[in-house]
Amino acid sequence: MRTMRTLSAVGLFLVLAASATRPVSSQTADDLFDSNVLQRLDLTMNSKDWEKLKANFQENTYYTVTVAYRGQTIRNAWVRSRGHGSRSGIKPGLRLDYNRNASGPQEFLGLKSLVLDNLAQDSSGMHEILATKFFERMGLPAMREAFTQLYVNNKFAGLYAVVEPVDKRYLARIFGENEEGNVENDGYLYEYKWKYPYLLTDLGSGLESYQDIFEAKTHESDSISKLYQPLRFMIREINDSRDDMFEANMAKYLDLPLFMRHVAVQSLLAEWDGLLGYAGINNFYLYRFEKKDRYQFLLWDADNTFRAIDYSIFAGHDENVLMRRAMKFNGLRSTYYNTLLAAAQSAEEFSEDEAAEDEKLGLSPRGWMEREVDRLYKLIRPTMRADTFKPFSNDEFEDGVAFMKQFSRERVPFVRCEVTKVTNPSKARAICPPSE
Amino acid sequence: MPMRDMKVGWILLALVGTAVCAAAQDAPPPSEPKPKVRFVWNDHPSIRAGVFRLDAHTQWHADSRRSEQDLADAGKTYQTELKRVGVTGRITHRIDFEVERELRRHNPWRNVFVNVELARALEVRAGKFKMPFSHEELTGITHLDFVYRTQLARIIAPAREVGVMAHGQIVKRTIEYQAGWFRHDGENGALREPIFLLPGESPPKADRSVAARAVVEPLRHASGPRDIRRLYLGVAATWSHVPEGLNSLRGKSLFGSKFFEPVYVLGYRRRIGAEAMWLPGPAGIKAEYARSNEQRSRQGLLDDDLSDFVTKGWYVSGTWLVTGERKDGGVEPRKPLFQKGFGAVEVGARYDTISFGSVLNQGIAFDNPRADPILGNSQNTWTVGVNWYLNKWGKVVVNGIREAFEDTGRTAIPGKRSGWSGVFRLQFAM
Repeated sequence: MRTMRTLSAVGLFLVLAASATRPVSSQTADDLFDSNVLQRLDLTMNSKDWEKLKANFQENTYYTVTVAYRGQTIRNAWVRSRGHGSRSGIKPGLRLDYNRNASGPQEFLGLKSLVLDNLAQDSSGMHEILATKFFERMGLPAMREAFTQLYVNNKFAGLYAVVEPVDKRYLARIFGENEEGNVENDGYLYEYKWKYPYLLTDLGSGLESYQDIFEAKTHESDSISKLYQPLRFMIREINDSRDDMFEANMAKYLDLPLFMRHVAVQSLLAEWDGLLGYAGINNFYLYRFEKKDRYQFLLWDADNTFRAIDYSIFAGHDENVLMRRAMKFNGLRSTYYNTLLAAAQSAEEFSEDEAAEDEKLGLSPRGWMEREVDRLYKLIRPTMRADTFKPFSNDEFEDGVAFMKQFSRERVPFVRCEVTKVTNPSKARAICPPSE
Repeated sequence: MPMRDMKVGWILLALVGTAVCAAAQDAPPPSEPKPKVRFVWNDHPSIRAGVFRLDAHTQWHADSRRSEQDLADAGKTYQTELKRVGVTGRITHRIDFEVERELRRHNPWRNVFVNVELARALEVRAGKFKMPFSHEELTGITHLDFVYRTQLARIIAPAREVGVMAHGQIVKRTIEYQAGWFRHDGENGALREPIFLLPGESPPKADRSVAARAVVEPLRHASGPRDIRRLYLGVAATWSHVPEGLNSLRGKSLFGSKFFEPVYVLGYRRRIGAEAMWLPGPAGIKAEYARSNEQRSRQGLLDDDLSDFVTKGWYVSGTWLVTGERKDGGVEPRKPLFQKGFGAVEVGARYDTISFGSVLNQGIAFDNPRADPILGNSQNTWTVGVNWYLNKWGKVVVNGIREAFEDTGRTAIPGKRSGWSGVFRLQFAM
């Protein structure tokens, strides 16, 4: 018996020793989306497939690929061209899918897929990553993102952004547990597909009209009625609800204050292709919570933020039915303006340490947004300049970054002035710069 | 006209020239009176004038199906798949022809060929016809023992193609041979992906194919009852070149559901086949094996060569004419229906299997089209059936089919490995 105990103790010691000395090398999605680091992602694929993907970049054909990240590799993965206006045959936007195999589910770094944004719609390259970080900062859900150097078959293929896909894992991360104690991710998720300028008007009783622009991403095999009838009811309510009952009736379908915060933050960021976009609603996912009629708009693709320093904070308000009607209610209007002011404050916020640091550098204190622009610029500059596949020159990149710096300094006063003009006109003169 | 069609045209022209020469040998002396044209209706309408004859044919069948598989893309529950008209004829003692057309828009032309008999040991056929591979595939659709052909015949055998073929019987008709050269690699092996060329890359060499088949009847001249001597043994092979792309053979269930997607191939496609058939009196026992190897040069993720993609299949079947008719040479009821008889009744069963994979089978297998080893899949099918031959033209076939798939993730019946189907077919062929 004593021998047995001794052997057991030795065995236990060996197991513990082995586990203690095992290198902690396994990477996670948190590592990949760490935006403080310039990541590196390696794709290995048949050279003909890579050329074919670029030649047929308008198609969604999948090709086999092996993906490697910091020594971790996944074989049997798939890649395809992606995007809408950003599609490119020189520097294609890419989508990696790990879970398309009949042989069983696969994941990599805890993800089932990954988006590689080609940064083709923004010469500074930092619109989207800055916008999503700011959304997060304002307590609104947003995709995690980080810059990455992409190598295809050991050849540099450009600077990309890795973007967390909006899927069930993302839903679980942002919503956590619901009141029933279950992970909230089994509701109905739709990706909005822009087909024509749509402003949340009633599309009638034919559910195909909704199916055409709201692509089901979960419960795809459910009947069209189950998928789209509730959505149709919400949109009908947006349009047909009596004026005095609108806020109350809509509460069943939408957290209207949350919607107002979403559009307010987009407005501060001068988003011209979002929920109040120039060509109707765009760039969002819509989620219907489990066993509920309530929906939530989720941010997607923020490349078209930072449109102009003086981009109107009222852009799209009259055209979008939901926004037009919501702005008639004092409480919702206040939420919108207060969020704009809070966002403005957040954008120019700095700590004492940061101010001291700036002073040492001979700079006047920089707000959060300006510091982020400087940090991101430092992080990506060499890679961006070496990226010969980008649809911009290096001068345009530098100009783009210069504009971002200017935006981060001048947008806040502009927004503050515009808000004050409507909320407290008597103070506007004190806040707004003198007109020329 | 494309170069390739020009070449086929020249071959046909040469063949017709040969035929004219052969016809000249058979031509009646100029002094003989012109033959009289007559219309004959025996088994089918026929126009005859001396040696010349032109026979009209039609084939039709309608199916009613029930299946656990989704039939939406396979013609649904009721289907009239076969609606075919055609003529066969003879111009001289040595030249005959066939023109056959399906009454549909997609790929309507079936057999369209001229055959010249230079000698019993050497005939030449040119046009569109079935490449010589697989007894099952070469059997006409109205003469099959079961409603559907085996997967070996549907997937591995090449089927029809435009080409030229020498064929004949040698060694006292003990050996029948066929050897031909074809424009592509048959309808079953047709290429589906457009060729992708890099700048400066030249188009791949043409995917011509050659095929050969030999069937021996070893007991033809042996002693003993003729019935038990009806044994046929055969081998066949094809060679072709497949251009780069997702052009491999692919797995589809009997009702068209995909269970194995094509993989990237480049290089040679080689088929080999062996067949055996014994038709003692009312019984019929048939078996075949076929294998296709497709090269995958430079198809790896590192542009490396992968091991060959392999498709293998075999079947064995047995039938028995309960009413006693002979199986060999086509079943004709001794007592047709409505002619003081009931027709002929045959029962049968068949097991057939097909599998997809790679030569390399060591290591972690994946199901992507550039994997090596490939995570294969296979299908096993049991068919049991009854054939009721009403008369020489009409036939009713009832089949019960059980298809089973190896990989639950790639099956024709979502979530299930196997499933039953039932088919009732009414057939008319004249």
